[in-house]
Amino acid sequence: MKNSFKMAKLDYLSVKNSLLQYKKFMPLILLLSFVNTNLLAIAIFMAMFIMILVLNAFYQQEKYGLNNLYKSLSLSDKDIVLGRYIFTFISSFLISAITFILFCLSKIIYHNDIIMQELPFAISVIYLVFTIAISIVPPIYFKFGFIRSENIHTIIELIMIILFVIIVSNSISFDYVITFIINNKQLLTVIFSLISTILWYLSYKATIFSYSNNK
Amino acid sequence: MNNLLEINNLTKKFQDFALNDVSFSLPQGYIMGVVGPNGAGKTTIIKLILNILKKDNGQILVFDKDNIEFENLVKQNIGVVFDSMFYVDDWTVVDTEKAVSMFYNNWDHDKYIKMIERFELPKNKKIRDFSKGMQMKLMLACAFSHDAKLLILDEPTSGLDPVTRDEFLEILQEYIKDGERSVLFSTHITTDLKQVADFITVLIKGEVIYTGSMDQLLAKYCMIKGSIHELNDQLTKQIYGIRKTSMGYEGLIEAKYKNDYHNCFYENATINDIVVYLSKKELKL
Repeated sequence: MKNSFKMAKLDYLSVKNSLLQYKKFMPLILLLSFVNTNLLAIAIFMAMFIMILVLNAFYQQEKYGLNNLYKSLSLSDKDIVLGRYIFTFISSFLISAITFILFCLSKIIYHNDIIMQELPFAISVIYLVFTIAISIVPPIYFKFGFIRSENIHTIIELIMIILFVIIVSNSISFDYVITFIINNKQLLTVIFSLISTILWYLSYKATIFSYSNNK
Repeated sequence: MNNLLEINNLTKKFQDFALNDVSFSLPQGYIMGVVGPNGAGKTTIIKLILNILKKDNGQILVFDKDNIEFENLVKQNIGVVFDSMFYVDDWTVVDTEKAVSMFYNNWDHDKYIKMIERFELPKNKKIRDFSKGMQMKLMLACAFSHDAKLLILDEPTSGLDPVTRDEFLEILQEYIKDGERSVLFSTHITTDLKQVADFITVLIKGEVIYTGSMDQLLAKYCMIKGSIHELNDQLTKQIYGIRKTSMGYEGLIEAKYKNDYHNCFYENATINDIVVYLSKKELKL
């Protein structure tokens, strides 16, 4: 576990300098947050930001042959994979916190009350959106490398978007879905959190398997 | 003699290449060169030792321990240098230490700084602006700073100018001076081996053709040259990689046959001759 944290730090050191170029997106994020008070929209946008961060770690790994560095260091396959997940989680946690603060600020600016009872639901939505967007990244990129994974990743994302559109357009009534969500927030909080945790677990197991057997 | 590295019956199959039943050992306090043409399997062996590739069969013991079962422990005492840099190129020497040192229990900061000063590496320049020789030296500095007992080098001298190459080889000799450390060194530049290697493993198309002392290998073969009229069937069979021209023939022959043929010229074979001519005729010795 200690080595995995070191690996996460190594990931941070690898992407640190290239992250500076993303600071130009900050005004855009702020603008979007205050124009749109929809939590889901902000979460999706921020998930894209995490995606860039995590993909950057894979990009650096491929560009500089960092796998040779990892394997020359005192690290096992498990340390390497778990380290990348810890890096992803810490990044996600920090960006979730920013998302949440922006969400609260936008509510305050538009004089909308923040209902404290809704916070767990809001957090579970952010967690689920981040999980769906990010958890598919490590198994694919560890298995196929950055260049080959880009196409596979794009195809998977397109399929997910098409499925989402089909589900939404074929719902008996979209209003019914919204009503269902509003009426079952507590249940959905648990279900969303559970689904997210299971997805992360499956993602980790798939990555360990693919990385160890991809030799 | 203690072996720091022992490889037994190592096998790894790819679609278009296979490493077959490779066995050799590297005693403590010596330098071993693994030599062979491109695609012979040199890098594959190094990747198997480092668990970058998964072996199909066989055993790899580093410091008498299985390289996978005791991966973390084993790698605490291994230093690695590849033919190309594996650090992020916008790191500086200081960033590199920050990234690498945390993984080693016995990282010595003072030693690192001493090595950096000795190699005259600029501390605040980005690695991307380093020459190939400087990049190699940085990897070596990292390997030396955690007191690695076994240094594994994959084609470290390819792309280096002769002066840097000579300096690099001197550093290796100095490194094993205390008799405690060893170096495994893959290369296709055979002149490097003559300068530093005590042992040699010749690898051709995934098979070990020879492993043992350098002197024994050089004593085992010689070059033979002669007139084409004197070439008979028996001699042809005994010559490795025979090259015939209108002027005559030449090839590599085992030195034990030297007294059997008198009307020919014999010359000492170099490592390069041995690798080149054995590659042409893939016969087990």
